[in-house]
Amino acid sequence: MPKAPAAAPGSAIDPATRHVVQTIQEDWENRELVEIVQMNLLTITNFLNRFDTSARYKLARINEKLSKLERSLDYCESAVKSTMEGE
Amino acid sequence: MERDSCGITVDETGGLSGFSLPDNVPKVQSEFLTLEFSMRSGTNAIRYQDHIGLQTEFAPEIKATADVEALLLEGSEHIHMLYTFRSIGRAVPMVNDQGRQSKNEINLQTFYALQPQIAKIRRLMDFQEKGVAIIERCMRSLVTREARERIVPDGYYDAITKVVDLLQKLDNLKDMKASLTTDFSRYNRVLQALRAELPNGDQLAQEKHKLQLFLSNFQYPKSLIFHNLRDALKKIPGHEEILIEMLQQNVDFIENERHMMPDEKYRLIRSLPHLMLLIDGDVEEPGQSSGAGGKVMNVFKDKRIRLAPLQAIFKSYPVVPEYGDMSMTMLVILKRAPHWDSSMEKSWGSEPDRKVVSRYSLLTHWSEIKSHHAEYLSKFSKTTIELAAYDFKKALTATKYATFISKLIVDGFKLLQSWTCKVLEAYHWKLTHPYGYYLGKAGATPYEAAVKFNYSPRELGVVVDVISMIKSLSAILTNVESDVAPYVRLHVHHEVQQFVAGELIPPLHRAQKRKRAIIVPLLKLRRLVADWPDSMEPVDDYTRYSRQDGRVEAVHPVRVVGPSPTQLQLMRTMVRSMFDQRNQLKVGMFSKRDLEREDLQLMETFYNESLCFQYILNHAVTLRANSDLADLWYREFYLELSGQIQFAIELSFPWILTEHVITNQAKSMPLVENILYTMDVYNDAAHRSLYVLSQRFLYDEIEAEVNLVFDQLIFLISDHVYSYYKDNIGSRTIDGPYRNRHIQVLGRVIDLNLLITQHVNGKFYKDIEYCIKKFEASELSSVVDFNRALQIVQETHLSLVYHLELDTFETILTEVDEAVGPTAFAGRTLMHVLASLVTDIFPNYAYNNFTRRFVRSPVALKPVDRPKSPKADHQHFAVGAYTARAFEMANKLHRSFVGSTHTAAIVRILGTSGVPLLVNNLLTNLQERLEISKAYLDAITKGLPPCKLPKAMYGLAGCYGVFDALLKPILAYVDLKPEVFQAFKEVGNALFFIRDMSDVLDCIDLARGLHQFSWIPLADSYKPVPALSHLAIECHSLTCAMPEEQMRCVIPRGAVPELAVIAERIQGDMLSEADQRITLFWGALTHLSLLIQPFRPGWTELLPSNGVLDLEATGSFHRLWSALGFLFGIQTQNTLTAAISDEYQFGHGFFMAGAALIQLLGQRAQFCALDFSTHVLRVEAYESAAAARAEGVGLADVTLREEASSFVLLKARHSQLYTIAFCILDAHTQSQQHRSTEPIFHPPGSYDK
Repeated sequence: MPKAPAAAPGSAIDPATRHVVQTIQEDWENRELVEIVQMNLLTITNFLNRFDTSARYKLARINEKLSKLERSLDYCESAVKSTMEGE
Repeated sequence: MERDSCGITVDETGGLSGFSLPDNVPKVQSEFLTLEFSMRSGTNAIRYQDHIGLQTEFAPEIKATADVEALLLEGSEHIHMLYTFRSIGRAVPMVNDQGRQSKNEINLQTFYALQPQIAKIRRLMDFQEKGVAIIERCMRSLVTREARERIVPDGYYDAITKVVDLLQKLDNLKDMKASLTTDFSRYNRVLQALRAELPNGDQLAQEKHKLQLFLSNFQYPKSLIFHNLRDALKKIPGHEEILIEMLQQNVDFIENERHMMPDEKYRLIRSLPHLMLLIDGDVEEPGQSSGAGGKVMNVFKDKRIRLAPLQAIFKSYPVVPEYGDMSMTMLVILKRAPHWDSSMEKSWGSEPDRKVVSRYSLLTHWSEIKSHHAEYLSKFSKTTIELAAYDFKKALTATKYATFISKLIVDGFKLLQSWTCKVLEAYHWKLTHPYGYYLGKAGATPYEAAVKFNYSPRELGVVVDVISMIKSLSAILTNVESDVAPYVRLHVHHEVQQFVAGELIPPLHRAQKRKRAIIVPLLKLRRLVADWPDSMEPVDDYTRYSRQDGRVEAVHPVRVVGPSPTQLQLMRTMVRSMFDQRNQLKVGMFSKRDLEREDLQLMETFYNESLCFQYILNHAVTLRANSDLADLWYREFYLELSGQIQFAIELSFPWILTEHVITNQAKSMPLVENILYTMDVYNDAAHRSLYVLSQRFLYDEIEAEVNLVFDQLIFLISDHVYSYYKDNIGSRTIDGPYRNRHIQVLGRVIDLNLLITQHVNGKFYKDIEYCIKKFEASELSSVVDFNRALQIVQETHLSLVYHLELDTFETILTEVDEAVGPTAFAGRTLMHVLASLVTDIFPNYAYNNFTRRFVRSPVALKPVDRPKSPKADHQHFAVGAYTARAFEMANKLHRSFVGSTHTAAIVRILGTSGVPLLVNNLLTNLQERLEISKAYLDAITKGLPPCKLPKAMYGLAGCYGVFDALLKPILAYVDLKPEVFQAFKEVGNALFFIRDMSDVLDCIDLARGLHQFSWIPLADSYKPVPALSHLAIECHSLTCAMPEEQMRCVIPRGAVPELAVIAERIQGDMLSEADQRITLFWGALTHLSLLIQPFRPGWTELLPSNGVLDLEATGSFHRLWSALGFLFGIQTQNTLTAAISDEYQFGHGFFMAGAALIQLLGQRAQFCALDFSTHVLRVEAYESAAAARAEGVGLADVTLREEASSFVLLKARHSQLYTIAFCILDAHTQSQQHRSTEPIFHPPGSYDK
């Protein structure tokens, strides 16, 4: 059976343990920073994706309107052509 | 918000969410991602390296786990390689009978081609050796005495389980792939030929021998790798104990559902029979020691193994997915155990009962899944709104909400996992239970029997529905990741800190007070993960605790980061070691009194809850794994089985689903909105081919299939959209998919809306083309059909134009009608209407003025040829499929005649520009007709003897007799009826037609006027004149009485704004405008009077001999008409058409023509005075008034008298018709005369000269 810890309760923690605690503490901090950066990256990605969809939507609208214009231009052109031929 | 040391806050980029980025697209597909980013927080990129800093006693185990996981990573590469292995040897052509030189060359090339394949096999062989060695090493270290006294991290066992599973997968794949042997034997042959020439020939030959043994081992022809593993393990004494522990742990994990991904679940299940196989000792060598004290291990009889839970699992999971389209039947594996006895079969689930079968069917779970889906989504959407509305707050106060969010996410993952599992289980059940009927049939491949013929439409529908639920939920969860990420991390951090710095205080306090040994591991646990405020571990917090304090709220810095994987792994191992009974007994470290019951409870709860930490921290990966349905596409196993390169698209399960959605939409379930979710299966498959399997050829195959599918899809959707609107069902239940402007298939962005718009636009052109063609091929009476069809097309256009950018209806119509351009007025429809009027209706129909209809004459004098009716290449063209029958019934009523309905339809089709053109053409045609018949008329005029009206004293018969004798000879003139009467009939018909059209236009005008009435007061403070408003009411009641058909053409859609403008304009001079209305018929008559100008000299007596009225002269038209009118209706006995009366044949048009010409020539008075028939009627009237004189002079014979009296009856009727005709003419000319401001033209009187 292992005995109770060498360091009596209430007394100071030995330097080795203190070092470990310190390291872990720093690790928490560093990892949190990395995590925050990652989360912000995620937000940016999210924004870019939303921006992309929105831009695509708008471009699609423009494309559609342009192709409709093209069609009606074709129509006008053929109308004018047929008139010229008729003369 | 406070800034961290580095100056970055959690919502540094939060401002980005403030931008409004509208995307008017319904959510009917998985989240659209152009950029993918997944956080690495949950992944173990450094492979537990940080254990050094944590100063843990589990370092060896952690190291070993890291090794095993590295092995797994390598192994999965081999699995992917094997699964996608396709024979090259088969593709390399065999060449015989070649010259030595070229043969060598070919062999060399073949060798080089096959070398990479062989290298793959070699690497696999090396790997399996390495794998077996590592497991052996692990086992050896685990069975040592020291190790047995220690706690084994559950992640370690889990990793070994993974390797066992990996090896069995490799085994199965290797056995299944015949391509391996094919390629190898080809390589073998080539190598033999080339051995001498290759520099390292001998070495290759040696290696080849080794490979030969690996590929086809005489000792273990099947599952060689697994046998190698087993042999290796059997050499280790006491390995069974470890394996049994692993088995127990896996059973425990399955029972408590300690898994969050489908593959984890199936891996645990798959591992069971394999572990049992490894445990079971060999029967053949009873004398040999097998490790555990000389006794041969019998896995089915050992007391340490609890069989009941194992059997329960075997029974409820007879089939589990293995890899891709490979399934594993549990019993097949178990039967390989040396101690297997066929009598045990039943207790291990050889005959799945009905409950199991129904568990494997999606139908059973459907309603449950649906209700869960609805419930979860409603809960989640509320949270999504909250998340968007409130900024994240990094504070302890937010922990409660963070906990709620995390639970919600975990619930979502669990739901997704269970649904995906259900889909996969159902799919694999079908694969292992092919439809027997087709299985034996020639031509039906196993894959066909397993997939194509194995699903009922209902099952397909359910699969689609469940897939779309999975995909929609995963889309939402993907979308929300950036919002929930800080909350999840906050929650995890808080949970961990609360546990170690809060919940552990009371047990620590007790342990310290009672001086228990457990204080050491407790403190270790605390130090492992604790995150202290002020970076200092408090020394006396648990000593100062007293029981009265109750639950301790941990004080810790708020962080948005979870523990590292190593920390988490170690922490869970330590916690588990404290509450787990088995470990306690084994290790004997603590006794029960060390920890109180509530402490144990606390530990267990934390252990269970912390399971999900790594999954929620690893959001994106978990999500993908839980919604990955790529298995539904992959069929490498069946391809290998049937020796084909690829299956036809009809066999592809995603395609079957897609097709089902499109073709069965109207049936039991509406699935159209799910179509894009179904396409997501392809996305999954493509993702796997690129990122997991890394095989370009698979991606190419998927791409090719998707291209095909997509073409079909566009075609079917646009078709469906078109027919849907065509059928005018009205509701907009399908407006989901086709409004999508950017769907993402295989990473390509497709504007679905644009594609569909193009298709639908084309459909409109085709549809109208079809309508016009059909109209051109039929009689004029079908103009009603045509009108209705056009109306339907127009309305369809109107409702679709909301959603799609279509050409305007007018453009389409004029283009198809070939009436493009400012000079081309006459379109196809106008030409057809004109042609059918002139060539068919006027010559071949007789008009009846009472019914106002043209009815076909009994004898068609000028039959017409028409083009053939076109074939509809689309069932929804014209009026649409659903209503086609109804329309046919309705239209049939209008087929046999041409009446006001038709006229109204013609007016509507031709529009305001077409009508005058038509009338003008009709009048020109009329003139031509008169010119043609002029010659005949002249001939009759010439032959007409001068005739004075006989005196009344000759009596009826006498008078009749005189005319009869005088005019009968003309009847013998052959051309009289077919030419002369016919000509006048045509003229009259034309006039009647124009009159009818004029009436329809009047009606429209009237209705327009009514609309203007109601608009004018609005436009200004105009007060309607009382008389006018009275008129309005009158008119309104009039229009109410109008038939519906006319109403529709009277009030075209979109007329109201136009009317408002008109109303404003005409407000001032409305009264005079109403006064000046000119009827079309009046115009036509005026025009006609000009047209007949050339005829005037021939038809009028220039100078009456007596200066007033010539009683006998035959030159004028009214005289000619008297003669014709007299003869009209009198039958000649010897003609063939004797049975058909002239009225029947020629109708009322004849009278109209005469009346109109007489009126226009200004001979009406003369006609009334001098008409022969009228004279006879007058005599008859006189005679009947003075009956006493009946016996006077001129009593003729009886036949003549009878003839005369029947003649009277006939002519009395005709005179009525003349009266009506003159009335009509009067009405239209007089109305103009009264109102016109132009001076009235009076014909020159005799005194003017």
